[in-house]
Amino acid sequence: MKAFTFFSVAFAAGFAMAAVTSDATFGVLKVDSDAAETVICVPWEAAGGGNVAVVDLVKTTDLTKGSDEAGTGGDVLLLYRPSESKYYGWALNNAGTWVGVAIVTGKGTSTAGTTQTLARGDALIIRRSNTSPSIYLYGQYNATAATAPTLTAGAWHLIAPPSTSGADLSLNSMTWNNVDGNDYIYLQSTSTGNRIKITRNKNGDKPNSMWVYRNWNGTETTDLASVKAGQGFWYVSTGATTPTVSF
Amino acid sequence: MKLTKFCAFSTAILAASLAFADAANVCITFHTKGPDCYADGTPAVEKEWYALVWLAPGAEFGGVTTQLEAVSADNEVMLVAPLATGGENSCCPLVMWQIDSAKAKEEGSYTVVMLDTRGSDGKAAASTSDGKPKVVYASASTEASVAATKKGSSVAVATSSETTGATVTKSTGSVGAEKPQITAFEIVGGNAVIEVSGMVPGLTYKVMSGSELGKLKTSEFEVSKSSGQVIVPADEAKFFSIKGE
Repeated sequence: MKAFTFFSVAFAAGFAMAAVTSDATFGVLKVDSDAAETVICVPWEAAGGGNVAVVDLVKTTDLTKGSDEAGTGGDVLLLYRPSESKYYGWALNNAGTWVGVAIVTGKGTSTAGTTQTLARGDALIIRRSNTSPSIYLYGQYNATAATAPTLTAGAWHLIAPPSTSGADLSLNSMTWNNVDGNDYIYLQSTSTGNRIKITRNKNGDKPNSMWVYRNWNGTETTDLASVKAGQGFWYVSTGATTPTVSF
Repeated sequence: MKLTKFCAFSTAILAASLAFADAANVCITFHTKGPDCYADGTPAVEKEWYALVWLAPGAEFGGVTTQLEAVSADNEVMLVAPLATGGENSCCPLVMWQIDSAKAKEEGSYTVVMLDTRGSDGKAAASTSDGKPKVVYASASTEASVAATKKGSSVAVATSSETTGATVTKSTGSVGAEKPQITAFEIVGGNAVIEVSGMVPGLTYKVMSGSELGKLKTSEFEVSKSSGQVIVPADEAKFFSIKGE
């Protein structure tokens, strides 16, 4: 059997050879977690893109598992939804799985978390049963800017800059607008690891738009007005104006 | 140009085809004995692509790009077609190619090259509208070659060596080439456990890592083709991706 078949001869333009590389880059961020309660950021997306499930953001062997399937005595995750004015909670059970639990919080008992997801720029709280020096957050990297948090006048807010640099971040490097002079921030000190209060400066040696730490004798410093890498903070709006922040 | 493909060796058919040869054309007939195999030792899949490449006197085959341009300046890709028979003794069947004598080479040689165009589904690449494979990952000379000649209607027959295994000489990435996908990522005990899909047989995949985006370096950690998984230390690196080459 024979067949006549015509084929083309390849005359093509030059082409620079290159290896094939995965579209996605994954990242790991180490976050200090030696405090009993730490606000952590959401710097990554889920594998394949999109919001990451709460139960997938924090997975590391350094966490403390609970003693039973319900996660009794294990580390806890808390997600605060200001639009609902409530917390969702998860505990790490004896199998190393985050399970939904009702946990006492400053706003009453939390609702057991289920499949809630986190967008880059969201914030999460982790409560440690036995603190270890650090935890790891990992997921898929996205180069586009995360959505800035929406703040409400006269309310508490959980804010966590989704930086992937691994470096501490100065509050004064962020862009703040409509901040009331009496607004304040609670964060974990980059120096001592203790919870400290950050306020707007009062002393005239700085512009009236700086975040500062004021010590017992009224000395103000901007050095401690920084967020530890991977962490977040509580922002308390006290006035009638609606503040905004971008990173 | 006319090309005639035979499904079996047949002197009679060859003679009949010669009757159609134009006196101004040169006929080049080539085939491989087989089995022609990829670098992983598996026989060429059905309809894998072969190329007939001209080599300048003294030159060696230097590989081809995905656009089927010869890598070496002293090579020239003359013909490409999806010819492999498939099966245990996969080979390039007997092919007769008539070429205008004005375009035929008068020195050097023609060599039969097997391409590796397998996708993640294990099949050879489909053809573009202009008759080229959509993607080429690797290429290798089958050692079947014949001296080039401009002599009129004479026939040059390329015979193969005893075994024409193809060994990867060049790998390429290109538009249309499948990219590896990271499908799962986890930190366990200070190590990153990465799962990868979308790997093609002709490439080797390794982890790229580093502390700064845009400055990732290729590590020696290779993704297992069988499990699709690789484990790398995560202590120093912060960013990870997968590179196939």
